[in-house]
This record gives sequence, C-alpha cells and structure tokens, in this order.
Amino acid sequence: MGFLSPWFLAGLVAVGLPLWLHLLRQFKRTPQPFSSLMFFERRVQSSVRHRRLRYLMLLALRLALLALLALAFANPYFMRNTASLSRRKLTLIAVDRSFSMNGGSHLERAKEEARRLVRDLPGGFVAQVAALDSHLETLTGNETDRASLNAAIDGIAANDQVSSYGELARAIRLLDKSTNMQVEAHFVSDMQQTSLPANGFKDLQLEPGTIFVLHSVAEPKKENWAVESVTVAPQVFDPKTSRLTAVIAGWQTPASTRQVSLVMNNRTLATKSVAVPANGRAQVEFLGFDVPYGANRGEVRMEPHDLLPQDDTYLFSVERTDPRRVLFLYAGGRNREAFFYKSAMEASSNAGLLVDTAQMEQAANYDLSKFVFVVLSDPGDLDSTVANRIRSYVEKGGGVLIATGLNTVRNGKIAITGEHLSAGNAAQGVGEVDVQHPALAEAAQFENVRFLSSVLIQPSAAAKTIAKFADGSPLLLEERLGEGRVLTFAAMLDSSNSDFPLHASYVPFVVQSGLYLAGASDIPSSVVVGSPAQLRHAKSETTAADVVGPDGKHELSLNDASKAMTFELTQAGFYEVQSASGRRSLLAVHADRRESDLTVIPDETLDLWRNTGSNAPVGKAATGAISTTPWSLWRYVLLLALIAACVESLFAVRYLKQEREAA
Amino acid sequence: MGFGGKVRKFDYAKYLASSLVYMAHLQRDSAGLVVFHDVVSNFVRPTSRQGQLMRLLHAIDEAELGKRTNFEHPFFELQQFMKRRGVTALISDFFEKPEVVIKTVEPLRFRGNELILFHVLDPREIELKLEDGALLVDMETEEALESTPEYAQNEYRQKMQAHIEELRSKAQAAGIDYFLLRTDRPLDEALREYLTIRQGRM
Repeated sequence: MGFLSPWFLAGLVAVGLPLWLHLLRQFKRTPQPFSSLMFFERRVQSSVRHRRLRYLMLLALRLALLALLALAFANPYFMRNTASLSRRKLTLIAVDRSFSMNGGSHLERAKEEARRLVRDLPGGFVAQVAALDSHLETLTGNETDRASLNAAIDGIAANDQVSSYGELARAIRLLDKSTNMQVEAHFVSDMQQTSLPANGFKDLQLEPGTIFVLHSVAEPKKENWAVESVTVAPQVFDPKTSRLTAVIAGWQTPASTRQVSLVMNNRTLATKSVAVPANGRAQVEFLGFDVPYGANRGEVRMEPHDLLPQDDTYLFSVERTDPRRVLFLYAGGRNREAFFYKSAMEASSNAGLLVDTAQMEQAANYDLSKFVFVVLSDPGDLDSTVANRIRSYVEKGGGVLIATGLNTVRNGKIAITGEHLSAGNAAQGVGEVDVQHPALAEAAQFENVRFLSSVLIQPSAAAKTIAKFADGSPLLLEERLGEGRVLTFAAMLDSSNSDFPLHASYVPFVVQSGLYLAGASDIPSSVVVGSPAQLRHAKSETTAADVVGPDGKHELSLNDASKAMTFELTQAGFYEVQSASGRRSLLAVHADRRESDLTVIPDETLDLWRNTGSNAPVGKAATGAISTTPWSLWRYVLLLALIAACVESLFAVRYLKQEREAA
Repeated sequence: MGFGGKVRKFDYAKYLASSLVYMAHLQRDSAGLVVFHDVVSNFVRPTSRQGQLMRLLHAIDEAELGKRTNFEHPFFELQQFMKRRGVTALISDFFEKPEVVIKTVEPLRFRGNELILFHVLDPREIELKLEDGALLVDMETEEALESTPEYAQNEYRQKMQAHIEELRSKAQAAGIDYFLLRTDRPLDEALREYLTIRQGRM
C-alpha cells in the first residue's frame, strides 16, 4: 500500500478541529440538587446514554469525514497481481487468411488447429473467432456456444490480401481495453516474417496481462518462386514498340529454370526459359508482341507451379489505342513555343500524343473534346468565350497546361484558374520539386535549369504546388476543376526567358506532364490488392459509377454507385471500372508479393512477441501472465467520505433538533 | 423544603406559618405549632396566654430542615396532642403520594377539626427546565439520577400537574381545604386570595 500524493496526508491535521470543538461542547453531567426525584424514572438514564452515544457518533463521523477526504486526495493504492484478478477470460481465436495461406494445406491445418482450440475451451468459456489479413475481422461476438465458433471457423477462406501482425496486436490491445476482460489470444498462422511491422516490436506490444499463444502451421518446405513484377506501358500505340519486362524471384529456393509465358486474352503469345539463381531474381523480356485494339487482359505465367501456385501468375492490363491529339494554342503569332513543345513531344516514341498548334484567336474554331489536353502558351487576356469553353472542357475531364509569360503578367490574372500573378525574381534556379508526382516523374528535378525571368503566382487555396523556384515561389501548380486538372507553369516553354529547353529534363517534363494531363498515369497496368480505384473526383458528381469484379458481379450498391469516391480492390483479378465521368478502364489487380516470401519468423522473435504482454518467463507465457499493477483506491475512499457526510448530516439534524426542543 | 432560588420553600413556609400565627393572635385564638420532618422536631401547645405569639414566632424561627419527610409517624403523634376542636394548617411541599397524604391527615378532620393543606412549591418544581443533560440529586435521599431536557419539558411537567390535581381533588373529596402556593408569588397576595375564597365558602 502506498500513496501517490502523500503530501495531502497533512490534511489529517484538520481532524483536530472537530475534536477541539467537540471537547469545548462536551456532554456534561451537571450535578443539580432537586427537591424530590419521585417524578423521575430510571429509564431516562438510558436515553441520556443514547444521547451521549449519538454525540460520540457525530464526533466520530466528522473525524472520519475529514480523514477520508485527506486520504482520498493522497490517492492511496496498492499493488495487485494482475494474474490474480478475478476478471472473466475472453478467448480470441484468430486465424490468418492472407494470400500466403493459399499455399499447401496451410489454411486447412490452421482451421483444424482452431477447431481443436474450440474443443479444448474450458467450461463457462467466452470466446470470439476472428480472421486476419490487412486488418482483423471478428467473425463472431462473445460466444459461449462451440457450434457458433466452429461455424465461423469453417467459413474462413484465404483471400489475396497481405497479413499485418501489427494490426493483430493493435486489435488485441483494443479488445483488452474495451471488454475489461482478461484476453487470451490464440493466433493460428504460417508466421510469415514479411508480415511483421516495419517499426519492429513497438507495434506488436500487447497489454500487460494478455495471454498470447502462437500456433504455427508453416510447412517445413518453404521454397517458393513467383512472378514478382511486370513492367509494361498501360497504353500501346504501336505494337512494334511494345515491351514487357517480368521479374521472376525465388525465396528459400535452389537455382532453377522456369518457363515464363506471356498470355494476352487467354492466348499465349510467347514463352521463354529463365534461369533463376538460388534465392535470387531473374528478368525476362518480351518485345514487339501483338496487342489488339481496346482493353486487353494480360498475364505472365510461370511454370512449373510450386507451393504457392497463385503467385505464379501476374495479371496486367494494356490498352491499344491510336495516338491522341493535343492542341497547343499560342498568342501573338509567337509559334516558337509551339515548335519547342511539339519537337519535344515527337522525340518520345511511346508517348502516343500528337501536337496540333494554332493561334489563340482560332481556339473557337476547334472542338476541344477531340483533344486529350490543351496547352495555353502565355494566354494573356483570354477571350471570355474561349475561357469559358476551356473551363467547361476541363470540368468534364479535360486537361490544360498553362505557360505564363509577359502577356499573362500584364493581364495580372490567369483566365482559367483565376489566380493572380506578377513579375517574379530574375535569374534563379529551381528549388524543391515533388519528384513523386507523375507529371515530374523523369524531369530530374530540373537540374541546372536557369530562369532569367519568372512569374510570381499567388496560388489559390485549391492549388497544389508541385515544384518551386529557388526563392520558394511556385514553379508548377496543379489545380482540379471538376473532373479535370490544370497545370500552371510559371515560365515560358521556349528559350525566351530560360535555358530549360536546352536541358535533358525538358523532354521528360513535356512528355510526362502531357501523359499526366492525358490521364495515362491514372490507369496503371497493374495494382496491388487493397489499392483504391478512383470513382469520382468531386462529391458533386452524382452520375452513377460502376465496378464489375473479377467474378463478373457488380460490386457497388446503389448508394455507393452515386456517392462513393473510391472503391477498394480487395481481390486479385480484373476489374472493369466506369468512373462518374463515364471513363471506362480495365484494372488488373495482383496480390502483394511480400506474401510470396514464406520465410518463417525465427523462434526467438516469436518468443519475444509472445511475451510482450507478460513479465513472465518465456516458458510460463502460455499459462498466465504475472505482473503487478498499482490499483488506485481514491474513488472508493471518496465514496466512503460521501457516505460519512450523508450519515453525519442525518445525525447532526436529529441532534440539533433535540437541542432546539430542549431550548 | 430546602429547595428554592431567592426564596426557599422552607423560608416561604416559615413566613406563612408566622402570618397565620399572627392572624390567630389578632383574633385572640389559641394557636400552637408542630414542626416535623420524619419525626416531630418541635411542638408548641396551643394557648392564648400572654407571650404565646413570641413563643410561636421563636419556634418558627428556630425550625430547621430535616433530612427527609415522613407523614405517618409525626401525624400519629400529632393526633395525641390535638384534644380540642380547631383549625389545623398543614404546610408542606407534599412530595408523597396523594392517597398517602390524605390517608394520613384525614383523621384530623374526623374530630370536627378543620384542615387546610398549604402546598408550597417552587416554580422550578412546577415548570422544570434543564439546559442540557443533568445529574439530579435528591436533597432528601441524596439519590442521583440523570435526566434530559426533553423529559423535564414533557413527562415531568405532566406528572407534576397530575400530582397537584390529584392532591387537590382527593383533599376536596375528604373535606379538606387545599391551596397551592408558588414561592414566586407575594405571600400577602396569596393569603388574601385564600382568605377571600374561604370567606366566600363560609
């Protein structure tokens, strides 16, 4: 027993106050001569004794009240053994259902082990069954019926998601705090090392007193090969230039030769042999393969199959289209910018973008919907009709690249986005660049580029700065307008005020920003399970979206179809997605290849994890955690003080009433 | 009879006895005196001889408080002295059961005597007040007993009133005059009232 705030015990001195007051008013027996006691009765004496007793009770209650208050503030506690707590035990049986559990008989053995755990539950048990992948899903409530638990176990099926042991630990911690029951968690898994959190044991920590038992169902044979990755352009404009690179990886594997096939729409286009070194990777390349027009379902298959055959196939989608057109509008007869831009775009054989150039004044003559995006070179005071047409075009899903120069500075405002601008600092380089942004993917951070003059743009709240000048002012801004996007470049695209076109970063910038505006980067050739598919960019878009899953079923409810911004791709396969803007796309989804590495967590690491919830030695971990925790008593002491105060009030009222009557 | 504040009951009784003796002397009646507590402590034979008033007043002045009161034994002796008819005034606080008092004094009435009971009480005996719990000590028996303000306020007062009323009614039933005298009341006023009542009755 101890006190968390022992200085408050000094308050016990206050006990002396009622003691002193009571001593002053002590119940006195005054001997008083009287003529005769013939009218008095002996029983009066007992009432006097009661009266004195009540007086002493009142004193005792007042002393107790003050003492208890002082005690409550001193916050008494004592250490108690958490193992001795009489909390009810909640048994959690969690079964791993991640992608790797497809391997061998992992899942069947895991379910059998879970059923055995249910059989061995003691009488009066309370248990839950849960399944783990990227998160822990509880399949039952707090059940006392074995049949319900077994039914939940029978229903567990492996999926294509990655397992997260950090998520399991977090869920157990939450369960421990929310149920106020002692949690005994059993986890049945193949104990993949890749499922450990990157932060190490911090995320695996369990609450003190949690009993954690691990049940491994890992196969002794752990070698596994997989198609680890496939790199292919999502859009093909010329089959002669098509190119696909696949990486074949092996884990815990000897050197081996694997047959790799390229399959398009269930038709095998080519097969190659690849020698994979022990525990290593090998690359295989397919060139100039034929791709039919439209969206195509591609696969890279590897044979022979191994312990985990599901990862021997890698899905990808590729779309064959004709090159798309870009409209470059320049002002004041200055076609120099158009020349630079068009030349850069044509330098890239795979961009699939053809540039049409025209004067700004002729913009009204063009049907913008035929162009994937529009470039406005120093638009200046843009005609309002043209500006409205361009804005409407963007809101419907189009793209615009605006290059700013003297004309636009003189106007003081960018017609499409409404951003204000002025002349910026002279002669400076490029500062911070978001190299992860798709529009700047290969721009090499504008290395060595010098801008002789620049434009200082005041970005709007909706604008995002993705590249800055050396002085910190925006160089490249992105802003969404409806379903479309606008990139604003704070300089010209020719060499009139910078040496940008002379540097190696110019062509990649033109191509990548063009592909970005054209939406090419929106649909990758393949995404990992758990990735979101964008259904709409603004909530105001109420046109219904649609998602058809790998099994051919429509995945969205009516509500989600009209409101959901994204849709999570939860299984491997091909998804047909129609966004709110009406754009159709084919998404290939593959399982996370971290699941292909079946290497098991070392026993020492498992022991460490098992004991994070307990101070007990390793050997005792499964039988019960023994730790002491301080148990604060202030609430109980305060409750006693409250009771003492109430009783004191009752006694005092009765006592004072008698006093008044006597007076 | 020693109980009292400014005026003790005993002193008040002595003033009353002196006044009655003086009135008898003015009417040339022969007057006598018996002083008793549990025994007869003094006795002056009734006569109308010269110097009787001074003897009586001296005896009254000499009277002292006894330890306790007993009506039966002194009154038995008193009956032996009372050979002639007359008026007997009995002055006491009558802390005895009314039936015992009446039973004891009633024989004096049978011989053609006229009997008057002067019941002398201190106002605090009638309306007892205790500020707090008190240990009361009987002045005659020295017996001690604890009491509470509530008891004094309620039960004691009721019992005292019942005692007075019972004594009054039993005395009247026995043809004995009864007169209650509170020591906080002026003696002349009390006597005048008594005499007025007595005159009206005659």
